Amino acid sequence: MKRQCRLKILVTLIITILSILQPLWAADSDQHLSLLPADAQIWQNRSGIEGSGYSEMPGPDIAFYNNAWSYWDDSGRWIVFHQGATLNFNEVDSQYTEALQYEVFSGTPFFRDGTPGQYNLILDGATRELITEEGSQFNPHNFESLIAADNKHYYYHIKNRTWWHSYHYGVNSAQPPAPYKPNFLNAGTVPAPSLFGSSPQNQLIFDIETLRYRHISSNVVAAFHPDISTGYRRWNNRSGEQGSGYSDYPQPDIAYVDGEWYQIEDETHYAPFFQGRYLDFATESNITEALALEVMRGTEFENEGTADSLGLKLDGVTGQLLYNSEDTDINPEPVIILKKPLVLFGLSKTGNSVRSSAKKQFSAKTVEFKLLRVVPLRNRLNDPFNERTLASVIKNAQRPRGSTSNTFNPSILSSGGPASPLNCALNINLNVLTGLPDARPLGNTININTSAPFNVQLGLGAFNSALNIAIINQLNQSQANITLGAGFTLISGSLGLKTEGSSLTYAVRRNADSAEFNLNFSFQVERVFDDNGISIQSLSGQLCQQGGPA
Amino acid sequence: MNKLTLLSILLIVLAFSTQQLAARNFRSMIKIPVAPKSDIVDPNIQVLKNNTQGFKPVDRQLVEKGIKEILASWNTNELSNYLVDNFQDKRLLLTSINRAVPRETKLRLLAVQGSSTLEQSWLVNKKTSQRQLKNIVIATVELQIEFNDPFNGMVLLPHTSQFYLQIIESE
Repeated sequence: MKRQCRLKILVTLIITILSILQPLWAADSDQHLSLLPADAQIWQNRSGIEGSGYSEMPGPDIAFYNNAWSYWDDSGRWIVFHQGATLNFNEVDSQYTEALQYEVFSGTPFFRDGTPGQYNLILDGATRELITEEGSQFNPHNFESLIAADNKHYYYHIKNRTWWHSYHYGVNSAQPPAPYKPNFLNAGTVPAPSLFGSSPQNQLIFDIETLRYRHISSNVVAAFHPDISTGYRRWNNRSGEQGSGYSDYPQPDIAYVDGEWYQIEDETHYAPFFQGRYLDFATESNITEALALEVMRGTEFENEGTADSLGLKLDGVTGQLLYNSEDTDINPEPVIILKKPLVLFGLSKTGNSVRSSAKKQFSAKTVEFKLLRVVPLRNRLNDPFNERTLASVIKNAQRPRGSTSNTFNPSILSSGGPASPLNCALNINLNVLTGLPDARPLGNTININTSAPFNVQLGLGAFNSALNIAIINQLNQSQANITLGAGFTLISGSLGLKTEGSSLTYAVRRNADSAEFNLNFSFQVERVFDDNGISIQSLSGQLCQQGGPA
Repeated sequence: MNKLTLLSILLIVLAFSTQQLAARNFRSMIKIPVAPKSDIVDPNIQVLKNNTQGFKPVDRQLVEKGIKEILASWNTNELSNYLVDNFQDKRLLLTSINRAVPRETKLRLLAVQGSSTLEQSWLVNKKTSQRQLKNIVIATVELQIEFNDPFNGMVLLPHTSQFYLQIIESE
């Protein structure tokens, strides 16, 4: 009896407990959804997807709904893992939040330097915003990551205009680190490309997508413009342009920014002429006459008159014409204009490069050269830095040969002139003594961008001859001027302006000893980058008569 | 029996070793060009870091200037100053030039076909705080050995090499 009683009590107890727990289970299973409500916030694990910036990051997609955080389970349901409006990354199992932390910082400058958990940031489920420990909002997209002259990363808060050191989160300073320095611009002006200097590498470009000024050369952010994200429009005076339908209207282009209408005096200066959102053409007709025609183009009223004559007004915010509450859409073109005075934090004129790793600009005063290694490529035996081959090469070159012959360097000059003239009695071939000045951009190209004469010297031992070749007209790409060097007399051949490709033969006499030579060469005028140059195609010479005593 | 066993073991070992040697003979090793170790012997010089952020190739004109200086020093006592201490067979090369090369022989630079900066790093002198930018540059150089031989006239020996240069800019 007693035993039965105990059993009854136990069964009753179990039923009671189950009845208490049952609603909770039911409630819990309600939250394990396979379909999310429309207002749910979802953070996808984009690991490996282009543009996410992270890969091979395990972890499920995360959702926030019904004041709870869920993860997407393989079973095809969202499973709640955390209750509450916010998610503290440091208090939740990282298996759920590892990819989420990367996703939250993806595309922001903070992505490179850690996760939001490392900064003790908390994620708000409803707004998707990050919140600091102190409870204030934190938008990582408001920052720009920059490298300063000390080679350290800084975050520049675009709206607050403060600088954060990347290693001291939240510690900010209004003082920009070098080489960034403030440049002050007045209202009604546009930051000109030459703002930071006249040289091209200092010039700026404006990226309309990110609202950033960047250096043309390095793409480093040079300046920031927080006040131009909305409310600016521009209408150009297309007077005389094809298709505009109007001409001979001298009025300026017009721009609207934040309740102010400007006439554009030039691309960097804007003069205000009318206040208010809606431009009344009748009030400022002397300035807006062209605009009154321009805004009518493509509208249903195009053939009915000007905006002025029809009593229309132009809405600077929407760019629409207003007429009896009926709007006509106009296609506005955005323009960048300063409504308020602005401080730009750009790279300083002298420190436009972030190359320097030290505090002041590096300026080299001395340079030291050392040869580390020589790797032979062609004519390997002639390597002047190889002790194993050098001695034998020199010795071999000094070995007496049977007869003198042309020793044109085939990689630079090539022989191939015609047979020697009949009157060349000796007909002894000459060597090229000097043919090429030092360090020409191309092997056999001479006289690059200069009119200085080039001296070809052929000779047999001391019996050398000379002929000067000079470019006289760099714009003419097919001719060169052939002149004879002083100390020589022309026997035959025609000097002066010669066209490339001709085979030029000259007989000349050296005045000092009456030695006579024949010279034959051909040339081509070549363009090396944007300079003209002479390329010697063939070159040969003969000694025709021995010289007497000088 | 024991001797036979020992002999057979030896034969097997020998067979394997000769096989390895033969295999080695069929292979030829081609080195991949890498920047050689630079030549900084001053104990006061401290290497700060590689200059990766603001990497700027060395100006071609500066490279040409260096090559000209080095070629001009060839066949003179100055050459030793332009070769790093661990230059291959440095002493033998200097001796060979001194003995075998005629005195008036020159190295003429024909062209620098191209240059590129391989490495760049910042150095600082711990005593003077003087900063230096060390560059390792590779350049393809066309040059020729020139000398006037009493029997053969002007001798021109053309050659093309890749020069690995260390260029240290000091402030």
